[in-house]
Amino acid sequence: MNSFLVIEHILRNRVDFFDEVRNGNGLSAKIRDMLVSSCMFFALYGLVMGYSNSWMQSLSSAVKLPVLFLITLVICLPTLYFFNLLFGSKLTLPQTLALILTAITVTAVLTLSFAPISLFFWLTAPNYQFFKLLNVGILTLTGFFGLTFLVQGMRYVQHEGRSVRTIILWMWIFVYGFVGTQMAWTLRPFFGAPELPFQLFRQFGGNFYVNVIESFWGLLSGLLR
Amino acid sequence: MQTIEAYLEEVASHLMTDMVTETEILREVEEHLVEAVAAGRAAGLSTEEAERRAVAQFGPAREIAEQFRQVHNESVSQAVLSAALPVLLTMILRSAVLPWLHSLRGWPTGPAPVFFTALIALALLVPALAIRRWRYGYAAWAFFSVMAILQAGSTP
Repeated sequence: MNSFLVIEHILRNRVDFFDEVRNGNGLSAKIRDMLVSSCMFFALYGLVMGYSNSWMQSLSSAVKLPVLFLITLVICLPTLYFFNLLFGSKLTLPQTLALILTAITVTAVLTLSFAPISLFFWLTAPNYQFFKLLNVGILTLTGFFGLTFLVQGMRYVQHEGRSVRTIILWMWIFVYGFVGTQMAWTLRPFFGAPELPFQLFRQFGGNFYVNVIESFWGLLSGLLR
Repeated sequence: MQTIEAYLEEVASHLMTDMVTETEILREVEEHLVEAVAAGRAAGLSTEEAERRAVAQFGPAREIAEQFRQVHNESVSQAVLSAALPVLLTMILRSAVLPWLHSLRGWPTGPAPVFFTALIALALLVPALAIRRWRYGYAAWAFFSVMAILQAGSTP
């Protein structure tokens, strides 16, 4: 429960929080608390995501959703750190990690807040394509608001050379989103069609964007029929 | 005049919150008191006198309990529980408890208002008694559980 206090700190008093990151106060504890709480929140939401298929899928998604965000973080962290360093940033690796984790933690808590809504739609209108698009929409929305915290944090923590590094940050966010969606596709299924048996992973091939468009058309053609 | 232990017991009796929150609050109060006792000891007081002074300075147990309760009840932990618990409980109810009841021989084959009313009353009563301060999450749980039970009742 104490790990949840970091959320309160970020959401209620972000200026103080970013100040502490800039000064390096209690960075290890912050990183630990953000990791614990974001993993828990994503795991809980993963349970709901997999509910369209089976309990096994729920448990699998509860593990895979936090893993998705953490692996994407691990893959993308050095890029942001070294590009910032290249353009004169004084941020250390733990500070960069703390700022990215801030975005992930905010994304996680916002995502969890959507869990009752997601379950509500699955209980009242159990349409698989709609459920999939709804959850993709929720994760996109919460991811966007989470990343605005990263932008605010980076701007606050770094004083000099902000304009160049802001461009780098936006480019990194684009890469982060791209890596994240490909990672999600690699780790799929997170939902699992109700009529299909449980699968831990699917074969490689296809991509995330094509599948979202196909789901959209599937839903639309079902409505028009 | 009270010792720290007795004071903590009195604070606990006024808290009326779940066990996890209660433990957190009591730990926080104890930390403050221990610091105050250490300061008193450093000022030359005996342990008993330092404890008595720390408790007296901290304030009446009822007021302190009320202040902490307000702070903790507004905390993110409460909000997280309110979002997560109803969802988890509903998933367990719908996927495990209701199918198990369905497999029992006593499950009514036709409309049985008494059976489903009893089931709804049970689903609402148990969390209400178990988690006394769970106000916001309880409303969500009430909605989801009633809906899941009604759905189960409408399917053959």
